[in-house]
Amino acid sequence: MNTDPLPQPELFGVIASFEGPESLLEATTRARMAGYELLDAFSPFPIHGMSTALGLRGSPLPWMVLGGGLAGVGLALAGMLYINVVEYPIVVGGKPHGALEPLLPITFEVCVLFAALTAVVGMFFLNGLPRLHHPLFGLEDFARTTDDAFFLTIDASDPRFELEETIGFLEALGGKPVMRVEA
Amino acid sequence: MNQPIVEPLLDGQQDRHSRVLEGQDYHRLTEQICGIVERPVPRWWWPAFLTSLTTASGALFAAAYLISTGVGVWGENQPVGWAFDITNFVFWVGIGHAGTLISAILFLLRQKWRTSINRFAEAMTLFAVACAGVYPLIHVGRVWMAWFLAPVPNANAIWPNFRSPLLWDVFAVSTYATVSLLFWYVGMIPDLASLRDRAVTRPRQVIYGILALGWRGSGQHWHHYEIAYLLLAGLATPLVVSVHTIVSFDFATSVIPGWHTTIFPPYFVAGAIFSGFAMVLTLMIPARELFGLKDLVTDQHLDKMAKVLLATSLMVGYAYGVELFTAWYSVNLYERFAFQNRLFGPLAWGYAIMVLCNVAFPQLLWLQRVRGSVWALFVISILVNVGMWFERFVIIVGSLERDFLPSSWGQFIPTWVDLLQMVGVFGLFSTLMLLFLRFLPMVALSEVKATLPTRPSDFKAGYAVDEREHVASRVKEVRVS
Amino acid sequence: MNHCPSHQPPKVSALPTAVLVGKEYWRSLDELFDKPEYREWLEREFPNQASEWLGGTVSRRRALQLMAASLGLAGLAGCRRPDYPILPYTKTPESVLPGLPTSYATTIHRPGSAFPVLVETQEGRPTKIEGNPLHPWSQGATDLQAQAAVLDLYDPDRSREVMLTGQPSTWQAFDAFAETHISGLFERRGQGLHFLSEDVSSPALRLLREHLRQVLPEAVWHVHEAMGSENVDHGAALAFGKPLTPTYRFQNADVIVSLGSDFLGVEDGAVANTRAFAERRKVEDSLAPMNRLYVVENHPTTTGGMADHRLRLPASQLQEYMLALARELLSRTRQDQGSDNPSSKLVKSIVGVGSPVPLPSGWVREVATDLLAARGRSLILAGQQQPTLVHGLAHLLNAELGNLGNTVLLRERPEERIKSLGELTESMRRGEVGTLVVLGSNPVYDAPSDLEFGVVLKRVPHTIQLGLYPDETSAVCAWHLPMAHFFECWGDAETADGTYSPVQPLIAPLFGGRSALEIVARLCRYETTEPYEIVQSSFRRRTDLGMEAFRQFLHDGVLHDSAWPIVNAAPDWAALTRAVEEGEKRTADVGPNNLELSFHADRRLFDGRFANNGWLQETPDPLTKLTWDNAAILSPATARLSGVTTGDVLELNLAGRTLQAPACVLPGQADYSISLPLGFGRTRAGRVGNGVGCNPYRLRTTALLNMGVGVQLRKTGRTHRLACTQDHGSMQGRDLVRSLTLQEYRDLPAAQASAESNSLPLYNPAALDGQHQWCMVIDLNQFTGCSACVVACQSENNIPIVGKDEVLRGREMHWIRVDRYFTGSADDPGVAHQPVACVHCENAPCETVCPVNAAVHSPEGLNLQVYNRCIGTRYCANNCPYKVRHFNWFDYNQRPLDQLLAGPLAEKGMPELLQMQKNPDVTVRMRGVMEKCTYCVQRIERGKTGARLEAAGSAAYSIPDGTIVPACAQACPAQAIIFGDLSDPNSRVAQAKHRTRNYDLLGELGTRPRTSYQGRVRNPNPRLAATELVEEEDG
Repeated sequence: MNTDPLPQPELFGVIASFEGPESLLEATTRARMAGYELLDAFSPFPIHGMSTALGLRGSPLPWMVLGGGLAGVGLALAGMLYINVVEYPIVVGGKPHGALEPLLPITFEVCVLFAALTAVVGMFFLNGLPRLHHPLFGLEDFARTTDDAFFLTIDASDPRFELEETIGFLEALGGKPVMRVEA
Repeated sequence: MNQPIVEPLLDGQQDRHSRVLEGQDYHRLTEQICGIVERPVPRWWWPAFLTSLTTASGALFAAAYLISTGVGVWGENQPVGWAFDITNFVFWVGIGHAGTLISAILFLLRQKWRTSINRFAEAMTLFAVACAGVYPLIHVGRVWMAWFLAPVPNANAIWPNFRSPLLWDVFAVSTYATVSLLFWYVGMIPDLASLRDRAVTRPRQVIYGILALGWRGSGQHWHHYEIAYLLLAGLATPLVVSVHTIVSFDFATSVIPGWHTTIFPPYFVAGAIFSGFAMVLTLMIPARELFGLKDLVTDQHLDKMAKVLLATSLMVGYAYGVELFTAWYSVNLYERFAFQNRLFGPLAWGYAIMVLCNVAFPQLLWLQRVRGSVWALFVISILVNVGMWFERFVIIVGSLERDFLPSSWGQFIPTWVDLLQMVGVFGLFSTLMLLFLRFLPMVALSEVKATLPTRPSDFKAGYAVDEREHVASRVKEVRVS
Repeated sequence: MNHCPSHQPPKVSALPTAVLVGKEYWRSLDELFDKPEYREWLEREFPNQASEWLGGTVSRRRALQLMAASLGLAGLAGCRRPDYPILPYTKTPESVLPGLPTSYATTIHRPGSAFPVLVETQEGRPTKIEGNPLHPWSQGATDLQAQAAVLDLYDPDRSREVMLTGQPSTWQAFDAFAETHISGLFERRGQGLHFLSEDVSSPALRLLREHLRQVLPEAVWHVHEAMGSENVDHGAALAFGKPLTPTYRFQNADVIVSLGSDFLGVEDGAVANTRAFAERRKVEDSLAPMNRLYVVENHPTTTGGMADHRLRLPASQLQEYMLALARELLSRTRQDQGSDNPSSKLVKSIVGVGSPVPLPSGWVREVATDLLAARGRSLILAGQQQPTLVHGLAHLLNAELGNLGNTVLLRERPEERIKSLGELTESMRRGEVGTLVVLGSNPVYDAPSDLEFGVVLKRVPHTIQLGLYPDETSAVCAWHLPMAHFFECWGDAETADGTYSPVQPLIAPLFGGRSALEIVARLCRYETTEPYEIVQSSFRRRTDLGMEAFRQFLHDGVLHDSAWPIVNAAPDWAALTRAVEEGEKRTADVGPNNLELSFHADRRLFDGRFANNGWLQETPDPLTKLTWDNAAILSPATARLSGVTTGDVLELNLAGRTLQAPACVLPGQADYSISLPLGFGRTRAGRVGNGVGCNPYRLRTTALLNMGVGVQLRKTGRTHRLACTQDHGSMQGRDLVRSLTLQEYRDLPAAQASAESNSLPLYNPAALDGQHQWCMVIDLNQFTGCSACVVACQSENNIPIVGKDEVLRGREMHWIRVDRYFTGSADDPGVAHQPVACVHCENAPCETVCPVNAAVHSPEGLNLQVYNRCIGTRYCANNCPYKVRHFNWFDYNQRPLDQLLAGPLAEKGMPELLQMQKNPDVTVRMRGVMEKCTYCVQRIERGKTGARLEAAGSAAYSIPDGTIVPACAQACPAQAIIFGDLSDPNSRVAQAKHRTRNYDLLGELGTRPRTSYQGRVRNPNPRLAATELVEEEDG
């Protein structure tokens, strides 16, 4: 809800509600074609093709995860070998100190653990989460975005952003209603 | 030019209409699932919860007695150093496999039907792993030193022995628990957001608000989210296989006849999936009745799970057969005796139960009629749980009772503490399950929504073709234009 | 070392009362010192040291000087400074080094004999018992009971106070009573004064008895032993006309025939016998040929287990066999002579008696042949409990075979007129006994039941009992006096062959007890009541040597070559012939309808005197593997006949007396013969021994002392849980105990020396680069199963007992166990014993699986268990193929065994008395910790330290082979266990490892155990074996 005391409230952007995934996707595509850059689409579930429609490039996450995994392998192997061979070599069951075979299971587990943690933390990082407040939360209807509503926003900072015109454009795309969002 | 393309898409009426499936649409779905959490508790919940809690406190008491008095309060002895403790540990870890399996592997295999049950199964996984974790912790003689198992120098500046399968266990199970938790939580974030947005009372707003981490369902969120979820699924899949493999190493890498068996890793993993699916059925069948989710968790789901059960039962049965063959074929005195003893020894009755419940009864699932009958499935799934418990018991206790030197053969007799501990942990499990049903969305909302069809033409056996492919095709057309 | 208390009676008796308040004898020194009477007692006795003590400025060195060997009572004994020197047994100059144990030589009394030991004391606390290497009776080895004796010393149930008719009294009170009472007796020249003692062979006591006869000629001395050796004496008297004591030289015997003689087991001198016998079983080491042992017996014994041929006969038929053997032998030795020679007369009389019992044909003919072939190198033995005639004939045959002087030595010992318990009871019935002094003996428990000793005893006006425990007899006696444990007082003793040895106190009497010598000396007003002086005079009397010799005597613990003189004697043919003719006509033949019952001493509790010793109670019987119980032993056939299975409670009815006893079916028992071990069913033994097992003495009468025919057997329908440590006797076709005959062994190609022990590893094991490589070899051919090693290990390594309930759960803690397997037929099997402790695998399965590195390997090849790292996952025990790891399921050391399940509610803490026994070099383990054999690592380290010190710091030190000996090996009478350094090619272990009969237990697993076994070699008589085979096929 916008309860901004300032006479000249700062603008976050405009938001338009759409009927369903298709129309949202359609609108997004159209908006992009119309040259809008700073768009974002909101839906209760992932809509296939939306990433392309929004012009999001491939995520760096897989590489981060690979890195995390390798880090796990390195740490586990190096650590265990150091302990078994250098730090405190103990004769256990007559096994050679430097034997690799018994170290594999743990190496694998640590690899997976690190990779998984990277995946989650990385995702949060890329999504700027956690972020407990956001201008959009001020908008009453926005709550339905996690239920059955589909929204498209255009940032005020978008170079092609012209309040009236943009609102008109969105309405033309079938966005009803189209509202302005204060920051 | 683009008019004709856009035309049908812009026809809201048709959209609205088409989004209805068997009386199901996004909003009603949300209502249904979140409603469970928001409506006042059903009449049966409190009695059920209090009963579970009481039972669980039994486990607490048994453990306290054990820790304050000594492991001797259990029936274990020379030569049976492990009995109920590790049996139940393996039992619970096994059950803990279904969740991640359903979520991860079926996800990778694009099995849409999983979406109705994966959240539930994942929760079950977590709680099962929690229950499993209880045993390795309390079964040690000096619990207050259990931290010596952690990968840090212990009180004597000695590191743990990384060559020990038991330490592999520690790593495997803790990793599995962590990853399952992440997987579960990440999958739940959008639904937690739904709960947040529907919350009316302040506490709910705060708690769900924090749990949802400010999820807004933006396209960018979904973009990274889907990749992360995919990666997690990809990581969880080998993990789930590795966990029970490593659990089986506890036995496979030992020297005891009946334990030292190369077939154990695949055999244990199959067994784990088997018991896991059985437990999902055992819990899902009453749950869908109680919460009226028949239209989400349909008979089709039960049928599919029954088939998985049948398949894994066959794998397990095959393993039983191969074990015996190898023992006979190896001409190894001790190996042969171990399996003679399994078949005809003091625990022969346990072996019989295990074969009947795990191999014989599940064969009924070949029959459409049996798969169709909820009750039959329920009974069979319980029998399978029993059978799988006895499999572990027979392997662990039976092999230890009679190994190499007949002079040191012994017998295991459980005490009341053993039994109380076991029953109590079941209580712990149901307590956690009930809490989950009460406070968290038991069906993956966003995922189910994503699978809802949008056009009458998409109706297929009550299910949609991949909604995403459908929309994608539209987009291509748009591009072309 | 302290003098015996009677030196200043008031003070001594003041001490215990001052000290013995509260649960234990005291709680802390402070509490003790705060007691004014104690302080003043100190002042009075030792002003100088007392002031030092109270000044509280006493250096440890000074303290040790003060305390000499008796620091044990936490400083208290230090104040009771010894007035007389006793001499530590050390090779280095005699001194007490803090932290290093000192050994003293002393002697334990045994019925009619004694057992010489060295007692290891830790700053004055006796903690461990070893055999006395200088004494022929021990040669450094010990038996089960000797090992356990140290626990009796610290038994909290020991008698602590003088009691008068059940009320606490004091020594002064008794002394006062004694004074007045004795003067009365002196007027009547001892009329009505009777002494009853155990068969204590002590010259000092003999000295006092002589004095007694002079001053109180009317006084009578009786001796009672439940398992006495009267028959042996009578047998010798019958054979030679005078009481001679036979002793045996097994090392000279090629052929040994034993009739019911357990000379390797419970009989006196078993340790020496075993050593000598084993000498001739060392196939490689001894040049003399291997001996051959025939055993005829009714119940399986340790000796029977070692037999090359064993014949199961009912006890009542052993005499038949003896007669048959005598007939066979004599008719063949003297066949050339006429019919009027004594031998043929004897043969005739034997034929006259007839031998209707069908004996296995070969067993008479072939054994006789074997004996004749070994004239002068053979030996025929009769069991102590065998009838006089059997002993007589055995002597005769030994004489006939020319064994006298070779394998049998006859010794003449001073005669003394001693009366029996029966005679005592008679005079008691006749009311002739005015005063009865019972010294140590416990007749109310172990007298033949027909004497009704307990009842008759009540008629005696004045009864005084001196005993270690308030037992069954003290319950009936007016006065009960606490007896000093033999580690607490002076005395002397003679083994059965007369070898003389001292009894030295190692610690001040814990409960102010007195020795029998003091009491008797006081009662007969001997010139001194000071045992030390009595012993000295008896020493002078026996040896006419000076003080220097006495010092040596104390130091060595033996007076060398002091055995009775060996005499020659010719058998009295006429007497024996008469004995055969007059011999009681044989009772109805034993059979399905006429069962026989025989009694024998228990292998652990003997006649019951050790009943309150937890170590012995929990030691599994070598044959039945029972703990905490005795049982009626039946053969499988007998059991089938009467539908009995192990655990059924039977009611045995012998001549009108009944007893309920659990059944134990044991292969190897003679058919239709039931045997009952004595020594159980005590009612006032103490907290440990009370109500354990059943009391066969209730069936035992003067007439049926050792066995009775015609026992009625009835199933009560109830069952009793027997705590048996081994349920499975079959080897399941696994070659665990390997054995072969002498011939097979000789034919064995030397090539296949322990093949699988060096199986190829899959990888290059981590190097064991220690300077020493410890290992052990156990020779199953010499190992008898006597189980001394089990208790030796228990006392050396502070191993707790766990009680019957825990044993029933299979939680016994013994680090070394003796596995017993049966081989051959189910009814008449051979027995194979195999001691199993941790075998210290080089590729140890237990180590790999321990998640916390608590089980690791030392560079010297020891498989170590690090207690303070162990968290108790029990994975190691599961993965141990030998199942030698033992887990502390409860706080066995800290909680009373009957409160284990009470958890935190149970009493906590070990009684101080028991703490005193613990070996300070070994950790006392807590609950939740795994433990196992360490090869006595504390002894290894002590040995290495010693060697380093001798090497004076130079890196290259060497440890001579045999200087480091684990407790089990040290105790072993058969020397079956060898320990040493494998890296030293000349060590005995290294040699033994190269023998063809050396093998690794479960070696095929590739565990590369450091302990290996030497296969059993048996030396059967081929001709007898053949006939046995035939009979088996017939039957």
